[in-house]
Amino acid sequence: MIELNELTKRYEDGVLALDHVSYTIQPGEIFCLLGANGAGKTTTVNILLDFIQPTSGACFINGQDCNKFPLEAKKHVSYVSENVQLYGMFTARQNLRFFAELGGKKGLKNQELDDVMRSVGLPEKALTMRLKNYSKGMRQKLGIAIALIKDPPAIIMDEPTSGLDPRSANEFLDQLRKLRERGKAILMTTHDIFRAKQIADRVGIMKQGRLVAIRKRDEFKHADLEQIYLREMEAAEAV
Amino acid sequence: MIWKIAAKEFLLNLMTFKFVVGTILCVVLVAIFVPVLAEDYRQRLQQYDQRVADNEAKLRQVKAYRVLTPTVYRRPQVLSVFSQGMEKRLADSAKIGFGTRPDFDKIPEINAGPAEVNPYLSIFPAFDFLLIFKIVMSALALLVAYDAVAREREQGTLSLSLSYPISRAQVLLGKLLAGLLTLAVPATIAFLVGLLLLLSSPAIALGGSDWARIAMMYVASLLFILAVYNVGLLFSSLTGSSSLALILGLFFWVVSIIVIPDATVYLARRFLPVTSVEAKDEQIAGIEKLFLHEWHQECAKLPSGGAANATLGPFHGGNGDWFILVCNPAEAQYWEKGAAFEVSFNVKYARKFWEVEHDYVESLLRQTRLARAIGRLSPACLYDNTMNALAGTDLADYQSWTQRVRDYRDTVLAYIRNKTDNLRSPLYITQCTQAEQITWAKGDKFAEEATRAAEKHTLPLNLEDLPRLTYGMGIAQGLQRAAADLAVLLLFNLLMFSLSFVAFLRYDVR
Repeated sequence: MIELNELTKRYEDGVLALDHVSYTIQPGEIFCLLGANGAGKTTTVNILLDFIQPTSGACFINGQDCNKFPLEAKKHVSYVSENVQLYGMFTARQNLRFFAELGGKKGLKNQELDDVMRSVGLPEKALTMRLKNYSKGMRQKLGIAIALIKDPPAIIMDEPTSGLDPRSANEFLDQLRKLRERGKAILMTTHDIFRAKQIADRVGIMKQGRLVAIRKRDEFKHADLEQIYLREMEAAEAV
Repeated sequence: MIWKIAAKEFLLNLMTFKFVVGTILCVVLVAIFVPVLAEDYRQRLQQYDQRVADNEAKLRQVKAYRVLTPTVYRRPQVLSVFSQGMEKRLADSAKIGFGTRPDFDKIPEINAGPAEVNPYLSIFPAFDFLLIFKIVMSALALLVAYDAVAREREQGTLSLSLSYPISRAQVLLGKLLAGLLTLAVPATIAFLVGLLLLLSSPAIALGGSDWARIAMMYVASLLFILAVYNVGLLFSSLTGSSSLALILGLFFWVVSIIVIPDATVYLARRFLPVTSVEAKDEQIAGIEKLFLHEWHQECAKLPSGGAANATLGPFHGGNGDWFILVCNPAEAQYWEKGAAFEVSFNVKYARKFWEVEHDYVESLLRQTRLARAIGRLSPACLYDNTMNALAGTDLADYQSWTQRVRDYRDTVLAYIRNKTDNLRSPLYITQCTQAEQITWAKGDKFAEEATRAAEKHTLPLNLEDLPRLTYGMGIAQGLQRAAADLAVLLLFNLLMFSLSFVAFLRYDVR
């Protein structure tokens, strides 16, 4: 479970990147964070992963304070970045083994590693291929495999479908559904309203550091999410 | 976890082009230059052995203790192959004497090089192990380090790694360990190849102390390249860009390897100029005049002073340094009483000469010490000092040798005193009998006859029990001399890594 409690971040240059943001993502839920550039989506991710400290408020992963006990909190989360860049000179298997061991999974057999990579849709020939020869779509899939092999209760994804072709993006969403079925609490930041509508259980709409709205799937399932998004943005601007 | 990160970094480093090129270059240079340096050492050793043998041959001809003037030689250091230091630029022999001109105390600093130039300050030695490591290995260390952090940030792998339950300290320690392991590969190969080539040379024989010092040199080499790596790591942790880290690293490299060693020489000369050699020579000339004046005065007081003065003045060559045959009764009479005076007189003036020379040498040494002190700003200079100290090719070893020579002079004097009843025995000056001396004094015709008779029974002295100068360097001495620079090098590493750590704690990994 991922929990944000009055999370606020003001950068040294005075920019308020997060303004008392609170929400909770439950196990088996995909929460998509929507917003324009500078809305505070990536800042949220950076605080959750303890890359930066919040000005006030707190956030928790599986009950562990992300900034007071970051190493404990990180045991329970996997991270998939916008552009998964792994070690180009290593093969996919070597990359996967390295990150599995960082996550505490030691002594895994090649077969186990290969099974995880196959499960995310990587073709057989890619398993022993060097990463420098991977396409972006393949790297994103391997990123999911890396997140999967750690098998944490929470997964944070920062713009994971950015730059993916439609087919790769769809395959990626299939993987997310599987993760949801396995009870993972997933936070995904995205610009892509179309993909968010396809996959999200809830969407959070951010504008200039504020969480201006949270909509459940029932509210946008049969509606135009883009219209909801624009309406909320305009409302926030009026406030 | 640290080991896991180190293993990953190590493997990635091994796969880089720069690592392969750097390793090959280092090994090839070692393979080219070690045989050259080993051959150079063989020739110098051969020359040393020849000179020692010549000296022994001359000693076997000595027929009076007054002309016992052994020459001592400094044996070339076998580890000069690793670090030539100042060995070839300093004097390597000294002549010990008591009865002739008292210049024996001038040894050997002044004879080391041109008078106007401080020979200790030259910075570019031959292309030995030291220089290969200082240039090639340090450049490789920098190239491995500059992108250790910055590249991972640029690629995004750093943020992914730090999303795992590992601390930044673990990441940085892993990178440090990886750097050490990576650079140890070419360093170890270079040392092994160098040693194999060295041992294949018939002139090279390494003892236990040599092996211990080679091991210390290996450790010092690793510490040096690790120091450069740590500087690269610091720049990589300070900047968000690997290209900026590389530029800063190259700037450091040029300053450390080229600018600081040059600047130390310039600054030392600027702030501690050496005593003028002309002024020193003038002082020496003044003492020589005083010496001659006093000598004549004192000789006049001795029995048969006139005769002695005429034939055995202070610059008298006699029958050559290695043979003396005095059949002049006046001289013999003089020497029975005057030898002790001559020796103590010469020793007294030798010390006066030495005081002047010493001032000059001290000014050179002060300049050198200042240069070394300034040089400690650079890990390259620290490495230089450490390697030279361990190889026995540094100034301290040379000074130790000259001190040993002075002590040896006292040993030889004590030996002569012991053999000549404290210089009172006629053996100090001649083996002629009383009868031969009387015959010699009758005139030229008889002098020839007396000389021939004396030559028949005048045999070379048995000098087998004359103590020989032995000089060697143990691991303890080497370590003692290298300790300060080695400690500063270690501190430099700790400081750079601590700064890297602080920078990395504040590093924006996003």
